[in-house]
Amino acid sequence: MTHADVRELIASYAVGALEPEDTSLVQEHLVDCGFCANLAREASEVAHYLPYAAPSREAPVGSLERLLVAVAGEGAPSWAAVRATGSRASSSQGAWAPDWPAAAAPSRLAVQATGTGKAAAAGRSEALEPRPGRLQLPLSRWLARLKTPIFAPAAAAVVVLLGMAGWNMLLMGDLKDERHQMSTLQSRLAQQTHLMVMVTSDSSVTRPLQGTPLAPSAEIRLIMDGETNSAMLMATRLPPLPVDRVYQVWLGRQGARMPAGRLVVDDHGDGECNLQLDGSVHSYDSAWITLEPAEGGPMPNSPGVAKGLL
Amino acid sequence: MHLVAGGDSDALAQLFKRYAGAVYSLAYRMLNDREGAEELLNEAFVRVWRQAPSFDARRGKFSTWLMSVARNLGIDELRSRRARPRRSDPLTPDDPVLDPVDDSVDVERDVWHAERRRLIREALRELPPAQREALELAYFQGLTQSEISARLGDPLGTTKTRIRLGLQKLRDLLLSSELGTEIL
Repeated sequence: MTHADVRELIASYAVGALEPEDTSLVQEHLVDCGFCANLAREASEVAHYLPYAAPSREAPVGSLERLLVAVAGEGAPSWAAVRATGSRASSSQGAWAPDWPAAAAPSRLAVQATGTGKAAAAGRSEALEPRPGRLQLPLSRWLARLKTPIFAPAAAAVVVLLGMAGWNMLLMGDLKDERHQMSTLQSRLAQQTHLMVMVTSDSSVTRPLQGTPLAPSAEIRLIMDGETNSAMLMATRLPPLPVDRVYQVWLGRQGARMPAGRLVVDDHGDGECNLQLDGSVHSYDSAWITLEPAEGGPMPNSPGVAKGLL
Repeated sequence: MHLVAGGDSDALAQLFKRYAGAVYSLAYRMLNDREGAEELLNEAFVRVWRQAPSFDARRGKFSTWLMSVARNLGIDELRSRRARPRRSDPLTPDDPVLDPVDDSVDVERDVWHAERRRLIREALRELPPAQREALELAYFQGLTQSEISARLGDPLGTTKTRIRLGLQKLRDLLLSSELGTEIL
């Protein structure tokens, strides 16, 4: 299959519209052809947006509970389960599917899952059903005994001890929080000191990033030092971070883009971070900041809050 | 996903709350019936639970993987339905229990997801109708280009060209939108 043949088919490949034999031919070509593989990646990136063209609907009420019942019947996930699911790969997988975990199996499994779920639900409701006469009677007897003069002082002592233990745990928790805050402040101080050194260095250059409409008042500077081949990013007035989200910095070079660091900001939207480089600091031509889950990711998952050319 | 891989059903519930709407919307768009879409939604997340240990975030976004799982389940179900009598009749616009779809009120809780949906639908609307139809038949109905040709009565070459030009134009439109920084 020639480059021209593949280019003719690459869009159909990306949306899963190729016949299986053509899919195999295209995949064989992509293994050895970086140029066509790049075209396929670009086409797939666009195809991945298509599911969001479906009219928006909310999941039916009770569907989460149904799922939790189903997975309770499955037990904890395991590699064995992954392999088992993979071995039941669907007919559609050959046509279009990402390379990582096996994507689908015949949907009769949904029916199986439902059946399992119902059985599990029945088991769970039975397990949670109170059994009158076994627990209630002894408990009431114990409560009655605690009211007698002999047991009252002991019960009071137990209550006091439990209270002190709880208080102690609260204090330990506070101490741990304060240590964490102190550590964060020390880390930030070190970064700011490093930033000051970089800003005052003769070999450093500073480039501004422009806030997008999502962060119109943000001021962001990217400082690059060619002598030490290092870079830092300093931001002020970025919008407050939602819980479990971070700002992620991306550096671009000749159309490729790579994650370069995570930026955590304070309540004022101020923060700074060192950037990780995989080449000369001056080899990059652009930078972005996006909002991402706390663990970050290999590809942006949200709109940019700032961007700029370097 | 690390937590889900460790058997944390609360983490699975969090993922479900975040993505269930998108998966259910895709499932409903593909199957056009509520019961089937709900089954697909459930099965997609059961797959998430089962396959969490093998998920590698370095190889792609979770949302991309999840939607591909859902789509492949949908294609399997559609192919299965084509091969046998329908299990349930699709809902029609006259059906009183049909969920009203109001484009002016997006039910996504995540504002960005709602905005993304709007941008993608707008971009699709800007495609020539024949290109849009070919892309939608391929993506949402799981038809191959030969099947699309047969369905629309067009030569195979015409269908290939429509899919290619449609996807290219969609990319250009998305690049020039606020989604551009994601795709670049």
